[in-house]
Amino acid sequence: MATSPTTSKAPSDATPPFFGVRALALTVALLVGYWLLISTRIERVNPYEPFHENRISFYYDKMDTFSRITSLSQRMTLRHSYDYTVPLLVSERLTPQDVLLLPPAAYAEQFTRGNKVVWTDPRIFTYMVGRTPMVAWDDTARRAMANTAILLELNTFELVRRAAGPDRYDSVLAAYAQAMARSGGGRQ
Amino acid sequence: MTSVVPFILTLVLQWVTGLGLMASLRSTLPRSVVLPVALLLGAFVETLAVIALDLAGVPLTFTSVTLATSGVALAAHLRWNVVRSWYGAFLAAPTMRVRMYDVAAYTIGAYLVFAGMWAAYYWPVTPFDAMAGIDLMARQSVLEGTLNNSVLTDPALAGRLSNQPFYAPFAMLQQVIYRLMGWPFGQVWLAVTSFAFFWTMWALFRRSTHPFIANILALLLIMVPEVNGYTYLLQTDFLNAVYVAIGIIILGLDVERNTTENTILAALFLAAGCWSRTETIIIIGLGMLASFVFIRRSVGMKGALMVTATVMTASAAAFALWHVVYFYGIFPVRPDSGSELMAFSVTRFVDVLGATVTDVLADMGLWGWTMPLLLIVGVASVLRTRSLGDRWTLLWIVVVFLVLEIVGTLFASAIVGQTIRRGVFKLIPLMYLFIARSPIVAVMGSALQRWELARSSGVTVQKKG
Repeated sequence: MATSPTTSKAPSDATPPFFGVRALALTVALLVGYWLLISTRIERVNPYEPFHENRISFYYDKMDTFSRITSLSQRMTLRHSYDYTVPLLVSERLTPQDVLLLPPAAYAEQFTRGNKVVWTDPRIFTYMVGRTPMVAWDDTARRAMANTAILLELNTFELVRRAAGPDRYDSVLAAYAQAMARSGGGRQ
Repeated sequence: MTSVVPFILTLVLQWVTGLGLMASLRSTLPRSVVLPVALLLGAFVETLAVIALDLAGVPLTFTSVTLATSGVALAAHLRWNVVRSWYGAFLAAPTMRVRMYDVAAYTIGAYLVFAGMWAAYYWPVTPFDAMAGIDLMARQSVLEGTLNNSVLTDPALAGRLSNQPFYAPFAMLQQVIYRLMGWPFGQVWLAVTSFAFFWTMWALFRRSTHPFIANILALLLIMVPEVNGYTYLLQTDFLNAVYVAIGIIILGLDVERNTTENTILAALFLAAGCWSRTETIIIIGLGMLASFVFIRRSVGMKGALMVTATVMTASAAAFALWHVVYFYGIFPVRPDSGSELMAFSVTRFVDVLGATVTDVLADMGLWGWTMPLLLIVGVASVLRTRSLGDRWTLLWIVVVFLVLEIVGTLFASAIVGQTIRRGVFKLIPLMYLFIARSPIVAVMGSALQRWELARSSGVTVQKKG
């Protein structure tokens, strides 16, 4: 019984020399084949050209530029955009007394030209900035515990605190409810 | 770059652990795959060390994890006499001869793989599932030093965790280890896993067919668009595919050689599969049942029972450690997976099957030329040699596919375009191995070998007796 790694070789026992016309021919064939594969655009026939263009080439083209961006925060912003920046800026402005009411995604998406928003999900908000006293919009049982809402505008936002003016706070909640109603109540 | 030294230390520990275990088990795997397989095995065992620490109530810190993994690496070498002789054979002079086109292929392969490795290092965790699940858990576990952390009890998240944080823990634990090392986004382990995986598959292809064809298949495997994407996007599926496929292949190598020498190793890899995705336990159960006849023919009834029992015990233990011990003994909450379950319906099964074929398998943008190549090679093999070839691999391809369809039928949250699409990752390495070992490719390989050697220098092809 064998008790060590096996070293027996697979199908071809005889090995041709490293240098030789046929070795060169096969090498050229491999290189040309690869080049054709990644550079020939034929819709629905060659999926490797778009794959190479969008993934491999893209990264090599941008690697230098990206590598100069070393700050973690900038890398998060590059990747997640407002899904990172909004929770970050909001959390910086929260006071210890605040319990944040997260708006429904439908409300936040009014300010992103319809692009999908995920920061309104309490799991994502927590992932981006850590544990925060907050209540999700669809958490109706706890909604009354919240005392701070986010009033979004294009490129800016304001934290509206119930203590500073219940009417204004309620109007923000009404805007949330309106956005939900407009979206059919689908996405929270 | 303060993370680099811990990273190298962890890699070395993974390698040493894997090699020590393989040596203790007297693994007879081909030497060409020992190094990458050892790295993958070590990664799995390290996550078990983290779990052991957590179960013992030891806070998870870089020091505690490094001490635990060092202990595991040492323990793997306790049978020193066995280990020493195995290392002796392993470290003998290499027999592989590099050819000119190998250099070209390795360069292209390195170029392709490096882009993914860089992206895994550079980019933050991106998929929603990971941010709302495994990495949310990993981050908080690192902050609090325990897996039973406040994500599970935070009132803001109560009732909103869904099942993502409860996914089988392999990827989450890798995130814990790499975050503890100081990698801000953790996922550098994805680069290590993909590198070791492609290395393993490349070596297996070289053992199966002519090196030139092996190189082409390896490059096509690296370039499978959808799989390539998940070599730097944090999800559980790629990790799962790597361990399940390698486990199946190791078992198959044993069956082929009428031996049970690598059964425990295969069982560990398949257990790692269950440690990375929950439904894998069904795949392994059905796969072992379906392949029992093959195993019995290879090693007899007693051997087949022993192999099946070993594999199932290891897989069940990995499954139970998370889904029973943690869910029912440690965590204050658990997912309500039962509510996801639906009664089996033939109509839904047919719908899922149809959608899988038309929307997933037929999409060349996802799998490159894998599916047409598999069909062409299969048909050509039958026509030319009246044989399909590697029946072991084919059987497991069918089993994995069927289980994916059953999961898609039974679980409401298993969506064809998401869950099943990523489940197909498990099929891809098996499909390429099937192609590499097909009779028609063997015929092509022999012809290529004759052509390559038939030259004026007088070297002749040695006929195998």
